[in-house]
Amino acid sequence: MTALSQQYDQRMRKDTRIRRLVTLFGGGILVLLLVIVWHLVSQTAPLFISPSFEKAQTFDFPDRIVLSVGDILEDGLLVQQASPCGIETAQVSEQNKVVDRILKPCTHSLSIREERDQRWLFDISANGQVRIQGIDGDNATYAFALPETDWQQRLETDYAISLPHIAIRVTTASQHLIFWVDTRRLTDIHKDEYPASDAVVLLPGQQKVVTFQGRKIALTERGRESRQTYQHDYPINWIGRIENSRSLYVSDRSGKVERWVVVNKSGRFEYVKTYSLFLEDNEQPLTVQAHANTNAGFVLTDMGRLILFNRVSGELLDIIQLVDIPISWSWYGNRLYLVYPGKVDVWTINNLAGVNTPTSLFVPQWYEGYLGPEHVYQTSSGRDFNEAKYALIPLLMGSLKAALAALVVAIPVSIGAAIYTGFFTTRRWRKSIKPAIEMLEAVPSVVIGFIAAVALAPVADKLLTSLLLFIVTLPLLLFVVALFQHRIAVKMPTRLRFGADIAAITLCTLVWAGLSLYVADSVMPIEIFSGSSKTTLIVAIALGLAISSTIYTLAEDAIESVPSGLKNASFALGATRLQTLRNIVLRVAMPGLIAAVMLGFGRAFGETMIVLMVTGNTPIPSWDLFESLRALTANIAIELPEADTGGALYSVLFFTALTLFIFTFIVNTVAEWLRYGMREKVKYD
Amino acid sequence: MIRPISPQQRQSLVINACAFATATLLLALVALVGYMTWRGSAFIWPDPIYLVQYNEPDGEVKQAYAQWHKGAADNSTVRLSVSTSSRPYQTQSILDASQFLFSEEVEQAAQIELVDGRTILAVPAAVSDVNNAQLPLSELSVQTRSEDIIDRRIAYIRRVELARLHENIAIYNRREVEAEAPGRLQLEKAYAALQEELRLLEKKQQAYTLTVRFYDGETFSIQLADIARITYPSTMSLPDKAKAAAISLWYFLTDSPKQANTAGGVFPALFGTVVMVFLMTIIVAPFGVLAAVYLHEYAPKNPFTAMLRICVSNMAAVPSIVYGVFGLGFMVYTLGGQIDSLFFADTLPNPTMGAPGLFWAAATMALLTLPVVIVATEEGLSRVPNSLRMGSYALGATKFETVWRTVLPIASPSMMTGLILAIARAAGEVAPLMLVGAVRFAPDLPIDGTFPYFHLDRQFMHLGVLIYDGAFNSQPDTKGAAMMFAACSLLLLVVLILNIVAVVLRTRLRERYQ
Amino acid sequence: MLKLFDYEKTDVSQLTDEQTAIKVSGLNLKFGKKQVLHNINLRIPKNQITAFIGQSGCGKSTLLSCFNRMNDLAGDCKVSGKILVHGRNVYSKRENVSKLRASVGMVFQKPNPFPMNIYDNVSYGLKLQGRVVRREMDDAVEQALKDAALWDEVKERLFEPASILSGGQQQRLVIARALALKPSILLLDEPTSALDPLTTLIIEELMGALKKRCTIVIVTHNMQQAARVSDYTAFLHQGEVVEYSDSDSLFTLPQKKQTEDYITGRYG
Repeated sequence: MTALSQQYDQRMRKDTRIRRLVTLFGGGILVLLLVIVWHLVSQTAPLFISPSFEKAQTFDFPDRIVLSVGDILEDGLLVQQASPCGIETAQVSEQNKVVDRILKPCTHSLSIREERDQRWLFDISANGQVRIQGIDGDNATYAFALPETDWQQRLETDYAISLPHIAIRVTTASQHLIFWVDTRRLTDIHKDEYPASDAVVLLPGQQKVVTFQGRKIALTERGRESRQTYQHDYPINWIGRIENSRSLYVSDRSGKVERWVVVNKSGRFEYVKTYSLFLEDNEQPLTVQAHANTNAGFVLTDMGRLILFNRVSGELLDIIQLVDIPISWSWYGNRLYLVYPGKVDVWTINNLAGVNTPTSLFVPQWYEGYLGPEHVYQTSSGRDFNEAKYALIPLLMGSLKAALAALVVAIPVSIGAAIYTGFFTTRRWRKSIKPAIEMLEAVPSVVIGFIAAVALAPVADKLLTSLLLFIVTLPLLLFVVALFQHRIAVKMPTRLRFGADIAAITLCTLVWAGLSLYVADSVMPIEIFSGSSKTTLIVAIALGLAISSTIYTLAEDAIESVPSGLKNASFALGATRLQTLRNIVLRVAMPGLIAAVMLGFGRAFGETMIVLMVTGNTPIPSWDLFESLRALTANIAIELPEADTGGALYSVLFFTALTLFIFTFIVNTVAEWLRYGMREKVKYD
Repeated sequence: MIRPISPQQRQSLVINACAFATATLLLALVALVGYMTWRGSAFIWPDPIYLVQYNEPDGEVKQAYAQWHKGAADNSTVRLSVSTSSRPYQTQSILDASQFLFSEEVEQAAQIELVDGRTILAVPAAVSDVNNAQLPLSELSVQTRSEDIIDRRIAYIRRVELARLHENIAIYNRREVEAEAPGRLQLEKAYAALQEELRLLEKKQQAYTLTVRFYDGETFSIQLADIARITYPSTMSLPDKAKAAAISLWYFLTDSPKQANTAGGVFPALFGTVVMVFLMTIIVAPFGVLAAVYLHEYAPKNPFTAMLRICVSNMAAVPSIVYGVFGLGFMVYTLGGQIDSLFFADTLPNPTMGAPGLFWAAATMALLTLPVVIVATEEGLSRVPNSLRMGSYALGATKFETVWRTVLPIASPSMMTGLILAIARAAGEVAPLMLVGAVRFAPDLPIDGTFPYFHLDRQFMHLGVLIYDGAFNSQPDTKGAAMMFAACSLLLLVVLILNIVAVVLRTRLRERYQ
Repeated sequence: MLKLFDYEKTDVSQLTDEQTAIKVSGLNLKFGKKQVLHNINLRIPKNQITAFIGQSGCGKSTLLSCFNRMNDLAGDCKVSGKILVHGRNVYSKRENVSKLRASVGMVFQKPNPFPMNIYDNVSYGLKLQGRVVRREMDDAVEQALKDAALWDEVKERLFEPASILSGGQQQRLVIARALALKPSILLLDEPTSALDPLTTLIIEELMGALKKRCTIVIVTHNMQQAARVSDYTAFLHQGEVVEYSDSDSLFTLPQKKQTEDYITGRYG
């Protein structure tokens, strides 16, 4: 007996163990969902946290003069003064081992300029012989000669390089001499003269020079043939440019710094004002620098303030007060190196991806080259100093456009079919038709997309015209048949009567569709549609087909589950089937129908393959049905494999994924609630 | 004049409209499947070879052996696949209807399919051996058979015997046996002998060539070793054609893709799909079934359980690409990165599990199909009459015993239905896979003869991804597109069959417990 | 003295502990907020057939289900009081419910054989207990089927599915299934209400034979059945025991008016 008792206890214990295990798995569902949400949110979070400066470390170089630094934390080189004259590059990570040394006579003027990650040494001899050579990267060397007399009269010089153009400013007592050199034709040096009263900024990339005095700004081309003038509202005290010269920053005495961007106004390149940054009274920028692959930029002012900002939207992100003003600076990734005479301070920027604030994703931004603020989505790669354009509105509009167009196609078809099989036909027909339509649900979307892209898209023109013809004539056809249908139907044997409906219609549809395809070319000219993108139409058809089955299943369920007691009551009062449908069935089934449409919409919004394969995937923020589109989902599929983990694009893509998740969550919950409510209502049957 | 519409006629109009909607959906389904199968079968059904005469744009009249293309879009252009002496490997030619002169079927012309996937249309003239002696054409079949035997022997040597020797040598290396040891010397001798045999076989393989002639009289030599198959499609009767189509189908299923997915077969993609689905089933089945059992048998009726059900329903509605994003961000980068730093630190910075691969793809698809399995299993559990449970409890069974012995066996067909639906979904879903491990071309299969045999970190090919790639890269009317259509048909067929099986299972179940 | 009725008549209120199979003391049961059983006190005598009768919803099935704690499965059930089965309080926290249910068998209104063959049905409970020796199991199955008076009808087709049996045969199969565990108490919840009169008689005869080896408690709404079959009858009304005595007395000379009204069909 005891053994048996033991056995019972054993069984109970096993039962408890298993119960714990199963509960674990049950709770695991919730855990999974939470993990998914948490992960999406955590990867999106950087967008919502503002970037900030943090002092990382200081490299002391007490025994040398540091001229410029590369990315020394990532094995970059340091450029220091060589003795007696010249420069040396040293590897900081290897105990400052000297890698290269370029000695020059001390009578030469040496200067280092950086453009797009490449540093150049400008070496000009006493008599104007110029030698420009690349430091630690491009090893090119360019040699040419400036006029000796001009050179020897110099009081001040400035250099700028943007291959293949080089500009050198020699300021004498009375004028600024600007020498333009093209590396492709080094002997051909062009000299322009400007009055010394103007302040000059070189824009070598565009072969232009900005001069300003008082409130006037002038942009003059090399050769002084073309000139644009602008009037500013305050006297200007400084103008700076960023790496690609497509943006200028104009600082005036009111403490305002305005960003001007270049635009193409009917063939001419001009600058227009965008936003303003506000400094303290009497504060003036020393430099404005752009980040190589995000939209960040910083302003270093003469009061020692370092301002981090989004250079497209103008939003200020972080401001710190430096103790001293650095003599040179470099910016790599999230590391900002500030060079002082005997040391280099390294500042890290936390959460640099946060430069793309949520506002910048949804509000129109004014990018370089655009005539006004616009929603633009265009990703760039590498360190090319291009502005990252992450407007999400075009993608949202694309997804909405595709989903709504699909609904326009899907709703009439699926609801009509649901009414037909759920209400009008007999049980026998329903048993055969319903599973057939539900098979459509099983077709993989990649297959639908394939057929749409490969078979439908090439004949889109013809398809569009024949479709229009078909739709226009269809009501007429249905009407004509309807006039006679009832009379013929009552004469037919009962068994065939219901089937005759669908058989006749199927036949007619086939015949008429075929006819309209043939006839379309001659009736309507196809050319009215050529030239515009018909991808939205094809997407509407393909996506509509894909979601039709979803909507059909749920709508049919709703209609069929209307209690027969209600329907019979209506019939008993003499109502026709149509009247019963309108007054009773649709009214009762309405929540279910709405839920079906909502779920179909959710599915269309979240569908990837069809929009990816059929549309041109160009993110155009337009509701025009004849423009291509890019959907939110397709965007993720295209961009995510190439995005750097933790970068701005990565966070933006996760943000879109989170949006999709939340959207479908809400739609699905509301739809389920509607369906639940409907089921409760009809439960008494 | 216009009579008002009677209620009957109004009703008929509405019925017609609804019937039209139904017809549209049914026709769409039929058209989809039918079109796909038609275009796909063009890939395996033999095309007769014609002698075609047409005008070149420069006015010249050309005659060549060609095959027509099915699926040509409209009546004004003619698409041919032509073999000429200047361009022996079938090239596409698009002609305007006006350029076309005449065509007639040619019986002597053969379709010569090469091992690398290209095809030549020409008349075989003679077979020559290494000494250039001409042999009669009747010898061709004999020679091709002996070539086959040589091919198989070479493949066997490479795959089995050499591989075995490699392994043994590797074992010796690991044990650091010295170079002079008799065992090792023996291995090396065997190795050398096999290499020599291979060399001789390969020489023999390349000995024979087939000379073919194009219409313009020019001849062309093909090495017999390069020929995969020679058929005479113009001479085939219907049973012959069916047989040839069956052989083509076999090649389609077992060959690798060649010539940028326009020739060959889909075997790697098929294999990759099957392996991934298998792995996914192993992951999702226990989780899904246990979760469903919890929800239906163990969970108390409180708001928490209702919330769990909402979770399941929402997980089913989440767009598949979001699962791909989660799979890439969390599974591949986070989990995979952790696994790499713990177990594979010596191969860093090259990622092992920290990069998209087979395992993560299977895990992501398991997550995607989890709701399907849970819902189907729960449906099955709910169809078990409660009286059976009561009977089991009354005999003293614990809850686990009741579930395990009584409930689950009855619900197992529903579980199967759920798994089948999950498999169908995984075979057809592409979006998340593109992010977590399926690639357009993978050099190796995920399972092969090298340790550890089951490569969970490898990237693999998938049928759906192949089709996606095909849509972007192929033009609609080339012969290459035919292979893509065939792949599409295959995928569609597999998915539809799985779904039909699942539906039949489910219907039979419903009737059983009515 | 001519004994007109030949049986042992014991006054239910005088039962000793040895003669009691189940002793119910102060049993109150609530489903959620609704109190279904009020302060039930009674003793079920050993090796006799006791019947619970009463209107629908009076709580007789609920009371029956307390004896093998099947009520636990109905959810949100709160029980206070004691039920002593062979001296052991089945509602104590340390009670092994599986063990209890193996020794207190139950048969339900609608026959519920498992979708297995006859042999597996009967041996289900035995398999749970881990007895896997084939010979022993065969013997136990045979004995159980004989005890349920089904053996002769199914001995040739032990391995055919239970669904081939008729309703009456299935009910006997279910009884055999319970008997295989050699329970000391057998609870029957309206066991014949789904069966035809002929089969009902067979099962009633079976009960008579079975009471020699176990105590039988039966719930029935068929008073004639209760009068035919049971030795003792309890009449319940709205969760209370109105009257409980030996069947003869209850049906011929009911003490309470309520009982009399029910028996004579004035309500119920």
